Amino acid sequence: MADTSAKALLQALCALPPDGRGAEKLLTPYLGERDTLRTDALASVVWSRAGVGKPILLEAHLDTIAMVVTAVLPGGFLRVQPVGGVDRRPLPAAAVTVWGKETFRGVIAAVPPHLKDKNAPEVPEWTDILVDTGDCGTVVYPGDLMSLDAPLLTLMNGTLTAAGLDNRAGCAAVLRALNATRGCPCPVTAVFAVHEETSGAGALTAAYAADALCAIAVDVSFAACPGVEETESGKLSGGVMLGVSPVLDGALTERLRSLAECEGIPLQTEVMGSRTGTDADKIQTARAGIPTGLLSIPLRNMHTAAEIVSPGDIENTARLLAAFIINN
Amino acid sequence: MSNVLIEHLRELCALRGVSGREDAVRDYINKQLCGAGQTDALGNLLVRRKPKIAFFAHMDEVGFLVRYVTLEGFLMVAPVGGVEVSAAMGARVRVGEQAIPGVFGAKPVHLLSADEKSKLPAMDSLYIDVGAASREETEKCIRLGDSVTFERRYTHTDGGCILSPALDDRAGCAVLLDILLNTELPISAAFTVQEEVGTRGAQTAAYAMKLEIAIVLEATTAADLPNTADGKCVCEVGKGAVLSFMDNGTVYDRELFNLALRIAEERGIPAQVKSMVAGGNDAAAIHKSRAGVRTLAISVPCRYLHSPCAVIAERDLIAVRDLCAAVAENLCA
Repeated sequence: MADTSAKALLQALCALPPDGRGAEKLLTPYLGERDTLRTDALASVVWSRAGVGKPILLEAHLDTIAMVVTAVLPGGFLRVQPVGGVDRRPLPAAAVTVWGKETFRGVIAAVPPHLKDKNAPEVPEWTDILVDTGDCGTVVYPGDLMSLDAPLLTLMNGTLTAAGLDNRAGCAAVLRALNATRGCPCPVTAVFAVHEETSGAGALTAAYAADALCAIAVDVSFAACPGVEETESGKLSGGVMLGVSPVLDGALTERLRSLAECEGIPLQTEVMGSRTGTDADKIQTARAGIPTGLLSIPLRNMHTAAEIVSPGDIENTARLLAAFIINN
Repeated sequence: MSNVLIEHLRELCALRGVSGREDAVRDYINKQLCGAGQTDALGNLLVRRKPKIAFFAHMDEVGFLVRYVTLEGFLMVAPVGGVEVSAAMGARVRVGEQAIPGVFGAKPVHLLSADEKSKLPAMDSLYIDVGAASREETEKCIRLGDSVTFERRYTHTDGGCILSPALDDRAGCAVLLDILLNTELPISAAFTVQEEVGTRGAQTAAYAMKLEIAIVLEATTAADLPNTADGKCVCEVGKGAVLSFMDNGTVYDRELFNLALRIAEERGIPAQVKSMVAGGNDAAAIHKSRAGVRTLAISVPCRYLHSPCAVIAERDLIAVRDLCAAVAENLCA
């Protein structure tokens, strides 16, 4: 059977392009006897585990932030626009992967310091950002996607860094939970949704199709680091972040809390005064409404090439999801 | 023959050598030279075949030194050489002799004020995250003063571009090594230290070598981007070896400059003249050595110098090698 460790899963998931193209093929070896996979109309990947009654919906968005090629200029330079909230500050001289007809390496062009206009903004506007591909010829076209080039790397303590851990980390947690509950009769639909970073359309439509009993969205959230106080964030390696918000179902949230307590799973509470900014917001109002909970994996340096997660947090998220399925 | 040159460059780019910590680069070069080089007091590697004419390339690269470890285990750093904040943020690095991996962190864009979004943080507020949970844990394998380099990366594209952080000046080192290995000409060579912190190594190497002529092999800024104003490209990647008449550190020897241009033309070696007075290199120290040294710089045009991802063209590297070899031949004739 395929390696289901969080690290092995993330290695494979982080190597997918930003839109998750190829995920169905990647996930196929992990399927159990009652499991089937399909790719829906918007390209979200839907994992269905057969059982009696309405399924539990687990959702993790598959897409990552990216850039899209808007024009190919002479000399192999590309103009780009962001797909989702890309941080422009660290872009100059960063390496990128261009997902064209072939995949190839590029560099975000940087203006040498002595040529910078003193009145120019410190952080370039998107219209001034160019990507240098050397000479990519005809293998790239407007519409091709581009990701920050930072494959999975292990730091001290087994801490992991990669571009796109938002939300491939969430995908890995859902896969771990699915794997741990193979023998459980409860029907489950797991959606690896597209378009979270732009419109939420993937989760919106997949949640409609799933017609679920209840749902748990799994995403990442801010972990404390210099400049981000613990008062406004979670702690890396501090456990699953349980979302509390008006849009999240109170009873379901309490159930997750008590399950974590029973199972000895470390939990941190993330309180939001309104919508959560995750796919949970879309799932909640699908069809006639779906009671929805939110679990988040603490992550540092969100939307940069230097995203960091702790595999322990992924594992604890998977354990809590599994406990929820088993105790349903 | 070019394959050996490229292979040497690839191996040189894999080595880490912040200014003052050039040991690995020096050891590699001297090994290739079968120990023919001598290391001086500052760490320069000198190869003396003839005292009057020498080629220079610097072994060091820009980077950082660890200056503080926070309670939470993050590293604060002092930049070594000219590194821009935007190049460091989000970049992967290696720390200390054990090459511990880490990343420069950044406050998430979601939590930035409108003002913060359009401004870069100060260099002294940047921090490196090595994944440690505390100062104690970090200090088990990292000490203050440890050097930090951008993560080694080396990509040779199908289009003949080479992407790597330390091309400035491992490109020069690779060319100089290639010339020494492939010619019996009576030329000397200095692989210098600490160029990026004020051409310290070149100053003492030039003094020790008592030169009449020096030729500096460098990587120089190419700003040939589509949005660069006319006349501000400095030089262009793919257009050949760059000859400088003047930069911020040196007014170059007119005769040597003309000689190199003429040789390039005669031999059909692609060459271009640096079209802005910008930057500086070891020549700044060398030409003022003792009673003066006639100095020339031959450079590889390089985009995104001092960043995690500098870019040169293979054909420019070969042009620099061919032009240097031809100039050496002419000067020794």
